[in-house]
Amino acid sequence: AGQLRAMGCELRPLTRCDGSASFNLNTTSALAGVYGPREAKSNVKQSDESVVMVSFNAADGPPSAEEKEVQSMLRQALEAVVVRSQNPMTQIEVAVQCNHDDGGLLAASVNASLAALADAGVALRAQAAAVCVAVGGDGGLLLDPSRGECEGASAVVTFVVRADDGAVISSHCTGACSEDAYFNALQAATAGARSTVSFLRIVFEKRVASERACWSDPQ
Amino acid sequence: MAGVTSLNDKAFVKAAAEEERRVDGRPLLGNRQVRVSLLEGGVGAEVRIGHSRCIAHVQAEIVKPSADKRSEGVLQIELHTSAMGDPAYEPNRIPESIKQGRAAVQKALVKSKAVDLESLCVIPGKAVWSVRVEVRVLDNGGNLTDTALLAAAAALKGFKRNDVTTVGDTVKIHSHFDREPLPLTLYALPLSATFGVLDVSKDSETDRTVMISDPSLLEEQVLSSSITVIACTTDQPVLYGILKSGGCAVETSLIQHACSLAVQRSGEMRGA
Repeated sequence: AGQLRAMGCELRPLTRCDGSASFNLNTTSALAGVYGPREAKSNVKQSDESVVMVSFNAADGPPSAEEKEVQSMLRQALEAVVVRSQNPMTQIEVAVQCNHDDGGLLAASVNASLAALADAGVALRAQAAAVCVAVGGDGGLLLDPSRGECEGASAVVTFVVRADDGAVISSHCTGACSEDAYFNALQAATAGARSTVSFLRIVFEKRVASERACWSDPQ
Repeated sequence: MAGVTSLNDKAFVKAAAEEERRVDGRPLLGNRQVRVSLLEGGVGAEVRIGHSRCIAHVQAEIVKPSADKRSEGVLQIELHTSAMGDPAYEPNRIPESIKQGRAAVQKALVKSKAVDLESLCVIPGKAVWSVRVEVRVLDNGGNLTDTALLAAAAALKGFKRNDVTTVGDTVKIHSHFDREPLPLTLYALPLSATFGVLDVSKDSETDRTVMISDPSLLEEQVLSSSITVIACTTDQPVLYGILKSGGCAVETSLIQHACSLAVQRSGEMRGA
């Protein structure tokens, strides 16, 4: 119950984006592409910080209200992590495409976006990761639930947690659960977030090492 | 400023074409590698042709049929570009490449009646399956038409809809666990091959054109015209459509050559 599914992350799968990453939690898969920081349109430009714009597309058809909710939650979470004061008058666009939803889609999208932002070289305030937890009727917790487990739970919470000190950046809860269950879920999520951050760190270190090897090769 | 190609780049591509070469080292009629992967659960497909990447998702639901087509299902295929496909993306602006892609997809899969719509009828006049394919461009590396069409075709081929039983006027849809889902009935799977035409005639000479197959993004900026041929090779080669966007005039022999190449390529892509 307290285990994350197998994680996968691919950096720079897309060629036209400034930065991109795909993040999988077993079969749940999200792809994020980042353009920016680049010139902002005059109607959204802000003189002291950059604007983060997010577009989210689920696998299903026309844009639904749920998608809009995910979009705004994603934007708020990313706005908190990106160092926006570094690039005023610019915009950073994050486009997220969901490929398969087997539970934990919001968490996979946040993680893919954070990895894509790092891949694009956008400065981030902290190492953070998103984790999904399902709370059962009896208060039992399931870390990183599958779709079936989500449907059977009384509440599903996605936390975006800062790995260093366990501070909560963002929390999105569907359903009802007791206060104790919520804080237990948060604890479980913090542990999960730390594992996710270490995993992402390994992925990035590998990439930097391979790029360095590429550049330092005399041929 | 992200979508602008420099004059130097354009001149380079044209100069290479004059010498019958291409910038990425391919032969004039060489194609990039095609990779097709089906998504989990048979709900779609992802296709990569070189750097171009498209993903297609299929959904089916029971709807009431229109009055004039009482015993036919509905097939809708939509092609969208996404914010990640191109730096010059704007929500309400549809680029030329997408318009061409949409025309090709409609011709190849919808108007060609490649999908058997009558088999999608459940209760005539009351309930039919409506199949909707949504193709999204994830990465624009040139030749979106072929990539998008192949993604839509692969998605339709791999798609399985739920089995249904009818009891009088009510329709019972079985889940995947109750009964095996059924594939769609496809008569043919037309695929397209896009060629670019570069006008390399010098001022006083007669028109000289060079045809390249599967143009990349850089080559697309320089093309004088493009020809998309939709073909299928199940029993015998059948052409489903030829789309030639304006631009320079080409000899008929060039178009015939393109058609025969397209037939060959559609056979290759079916295997992929």
